[in-house]
Amino acid sequence: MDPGETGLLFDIRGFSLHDGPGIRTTVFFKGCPLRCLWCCNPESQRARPETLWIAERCIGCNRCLEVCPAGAVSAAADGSRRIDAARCEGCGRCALACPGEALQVFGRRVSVEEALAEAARDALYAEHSGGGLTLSGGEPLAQPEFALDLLRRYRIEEKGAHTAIETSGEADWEILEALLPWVDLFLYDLKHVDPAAHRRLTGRGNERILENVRRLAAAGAEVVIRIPLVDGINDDPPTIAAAADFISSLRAVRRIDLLPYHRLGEPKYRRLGRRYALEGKPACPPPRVEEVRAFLAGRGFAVRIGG
Amino acid sequence: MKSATSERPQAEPRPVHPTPRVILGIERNRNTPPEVHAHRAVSVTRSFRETEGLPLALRRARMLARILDEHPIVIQEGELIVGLKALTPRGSPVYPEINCSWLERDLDRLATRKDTPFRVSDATKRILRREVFPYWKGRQIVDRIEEAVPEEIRRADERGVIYNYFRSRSIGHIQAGYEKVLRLGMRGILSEVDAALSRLDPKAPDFLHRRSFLESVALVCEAVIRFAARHAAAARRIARETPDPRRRAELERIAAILERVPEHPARGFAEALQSFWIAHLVLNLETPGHAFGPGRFDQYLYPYYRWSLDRREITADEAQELIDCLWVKFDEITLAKDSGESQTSSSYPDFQNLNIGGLTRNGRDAVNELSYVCLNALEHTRLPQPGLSAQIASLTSPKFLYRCCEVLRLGTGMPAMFNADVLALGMVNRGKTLEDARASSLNGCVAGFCDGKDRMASSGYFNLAKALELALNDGLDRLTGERLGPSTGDPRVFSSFEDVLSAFRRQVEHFVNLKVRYDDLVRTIYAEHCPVPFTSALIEDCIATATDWHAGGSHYKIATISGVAVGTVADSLAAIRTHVFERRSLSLERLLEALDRNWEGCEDLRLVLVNKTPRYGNDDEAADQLAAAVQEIFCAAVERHTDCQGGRYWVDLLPTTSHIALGELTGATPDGRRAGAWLSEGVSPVQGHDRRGPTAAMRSVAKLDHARTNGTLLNIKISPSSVQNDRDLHKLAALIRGYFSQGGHHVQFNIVDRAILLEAMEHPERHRHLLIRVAGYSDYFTLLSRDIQLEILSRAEHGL
Repeated sequence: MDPGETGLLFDIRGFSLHDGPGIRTTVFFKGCPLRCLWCCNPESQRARPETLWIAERCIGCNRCLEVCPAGAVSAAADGSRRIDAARCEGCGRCALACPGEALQVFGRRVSVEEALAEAARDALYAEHSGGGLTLSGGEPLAQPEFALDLLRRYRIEEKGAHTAIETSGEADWEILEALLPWVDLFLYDLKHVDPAAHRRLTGRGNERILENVRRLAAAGAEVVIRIPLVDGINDDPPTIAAAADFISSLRAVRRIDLLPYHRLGEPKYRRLGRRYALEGKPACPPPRVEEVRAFLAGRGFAVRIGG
Repeated sequence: MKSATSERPQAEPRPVHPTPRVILGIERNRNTPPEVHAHRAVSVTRSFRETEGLPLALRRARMLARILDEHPIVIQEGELIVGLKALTPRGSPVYPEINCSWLERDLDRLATRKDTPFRVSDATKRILRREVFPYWKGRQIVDRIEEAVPEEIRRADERGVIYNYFRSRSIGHIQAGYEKVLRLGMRGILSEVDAALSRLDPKAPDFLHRRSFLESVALVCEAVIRFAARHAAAARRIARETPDPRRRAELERIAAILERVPEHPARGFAEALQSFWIAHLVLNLETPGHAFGPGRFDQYLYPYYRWSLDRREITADEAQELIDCLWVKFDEITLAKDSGESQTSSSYPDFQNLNIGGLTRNGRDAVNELSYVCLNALEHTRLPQPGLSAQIASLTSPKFLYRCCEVLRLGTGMPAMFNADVLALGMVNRGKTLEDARASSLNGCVAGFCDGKDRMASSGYFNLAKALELALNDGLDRLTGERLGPSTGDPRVFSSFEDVLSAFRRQVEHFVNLKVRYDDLVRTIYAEHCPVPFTSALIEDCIATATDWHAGGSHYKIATISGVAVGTVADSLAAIRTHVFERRSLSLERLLEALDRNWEGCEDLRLVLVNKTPRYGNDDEAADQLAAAVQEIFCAAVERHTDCQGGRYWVDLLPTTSHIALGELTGATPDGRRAGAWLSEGVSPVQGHDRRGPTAAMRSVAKLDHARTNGTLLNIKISPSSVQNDRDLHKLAALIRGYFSQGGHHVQFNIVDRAILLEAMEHPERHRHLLIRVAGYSDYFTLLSRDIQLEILSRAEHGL
């Protein structure tokens, strides 16, 4: 094992309740090969540190301008701050200096030891609840060595605790294969079964994704399919039916989590200085969620809403 | 291994719905406005006028006997258990012998005051003014205390450093030996008194004193028998006038029960509950003590429950209905309090802490069917009283814990969850035998207690944040400039963090000394002027040693002081250590100037201190070790003291709602808090500053030494969306197990949507029934003052 292995993470959260069984610690990897239109964690997408500015908290003290070594922070005439993403190295000095926590840096390099120490904090709660560790993101498979090291070491140190990974599946099969012995549960996204539609919605085709989940199922892995339900985009009856057909073909997979679209990510795009493709789109209406749930349940799946 | 310890779902006996009579009682309580009644005060005053010259114990016994003999008997529609504390449900008697100055002052304002208003009829006002108030001037306990309190202590009290709550209410904190009443009846206790009388040595110098004490106990036991007989007679009379044969039969049965208990030992469940209730009422009529708790209710009542069910005397459903009816009775109990008092513990509910679960005397799982029946009663009635506490030991079954979580999800804030293992450990440390330690209970909010044997009595609050203020201001009050504490040095020249801690330690020691003197003085006044023969009858060793409970007659005795604002002080110390002594980015002088100006013009600095400081409640060792240091300093200062009756002093860390009132008297603090704002409550992190979720908050809080305290209080707010399904309830159970396995003493949950709370503030009429956990008790949210409503909103909400 390489002792110097580090991962680029944007958060490690204890008391995670919806990323697998029990009370879990979730490690959020930064960097994702996909660009889903509805992504509610835009800060997770780019594989380098990024700085966010939250207007509501800024008191206009200008300390950020003074401390930035790269000259990436500037103030507009209206007082708003701009962070030049090309210049920002994510060193975090501005965030450290900001009294009101208006500046936040997402993404820092974390060693396996550090991540394990974080996970160990909730170990008792995980034990009492049958919980454990979840790798999420971003895309954990995009940092395969770190993911593998973390899972392997966690299994050794927190004997018997549960491990899970939330993934888009967009990676080489060899990466998933290497992880197989160390992962109890794959929370596997299925955004659209049609390759062209998938490319339009996420920026990449889904051939490798579908192939990988077939191989996972065939290898006997425990897989839960997660469908982000974005009304008007991937919820039309033929698409849902096709998804159901595909999941049925996996045979061993019986559980589906429906993740209804919500707009909580919208302000983050603004704070990152980026445009949100679904600006103004309201949350997926509950009756629609229920229709899809009922349909999938009718096809014999155990369906949960919200994971 | 994975799920070996997880809480698995269990099939639960589906509780029946509340019966119509229970619903009737709930509605009656909700719809009857709290009112003050004068009859008790009149009986007390007339009795005292007539008994001048007699030994005080006998005067007090005659007083109680007269209260009971003249108490108006009320039997309400549909009741199965009878006896009211005053004329109306949620009515309050007056206790002029303790303190009626406040009432005289507030009489015309009582109906319109902000916190806990009470109606007062013109007739009540007239008779109180004519007959009661004039007699008690100079004779009330509070007058005697006022006279005796030295100026220095008075000032510390007025300026919010220390607070003694025996001025408007008597010492209380009683978990009486109800079990003894059920087992022996009044006749049995009278035999005990006879035996003790025969053992008295007539040649002993205190013979007359002890004899009159024992005679006083006998006198009140006889009065209690008459009290029950009057209820029985009333039930017979009403029965005769009742056309409905079913209700008539019920009334006849009520009469038959009261003709037997509490005079004789109880046979069966219905007799036991009625006997319990009479004893509970009489305790409440004897003194306006703080916190009369039913204690380990499911333990001492279980044999009677079993007996009745085994003999098919009643069905399980009937037993459930009886318990539901008792819950309605508990909810009738309230007390009109001084406006000052009602700020530090603002509520109609009166701390009747009823315990279920926990350990048996020999260390086995104490949960029985009755434990579940009590949980059902809470589910059925959703009333703020009694305060239900569930004791969870590591051996407690997942089934019981899961059912508790199910009831918690209803959002009433109950049951409060307690760690039976840590409770027992702490009790052993405080001198209880192992068996008594396991059989102990929680009283008031969260304080440990040994049923029927104890005198615990927290004497009031200690404002740790004010002590820090004085340490940072050379003993001067930052708000008024007057000298309160000793001079502990000009803080501007403190050269190390240790200097800050040491000034803080000296201020704490000084005020703990004052507080102990204050307590002793008050205790002595109660011992001399307020014998409590009925309370003494129900507390072990009082009869055997012929010593009144107020004079220290109980088998066990400890004294405690309730520390307030651990979180505020820990965060303030962390701010000083981080910015002044580690980063050296701030001088003490500048910080003190900002505190003096209450942050006026220093918002940058304030935000830096708020946001750039390690804060207690996030599993950050830098802050958590300071919270532990604050506890250590406070414990060390308190634990060296013993009170005038030989009770050792211990610490507890609970605020009731004093963190709001004491906060008003505390200047700006280095954690960025503004002058007058709330202090942190209990051992909870500063409101809204536990940002890493409940497990991180719990880990921080568990770093305090809970077994060393007589109780700690932790509030956690959880969003209802995170406990929607059964799996979520298992996670809630695991959260509790996790906290307890780390040594936590108590945790209580508010599971109510923030949006609903906000709406309830806007439209109280739509949310009359919304219960919320305040401190060691639940209350209707819409009846709380705005300050407390805002405080509850500000506690961080967890859930994803």
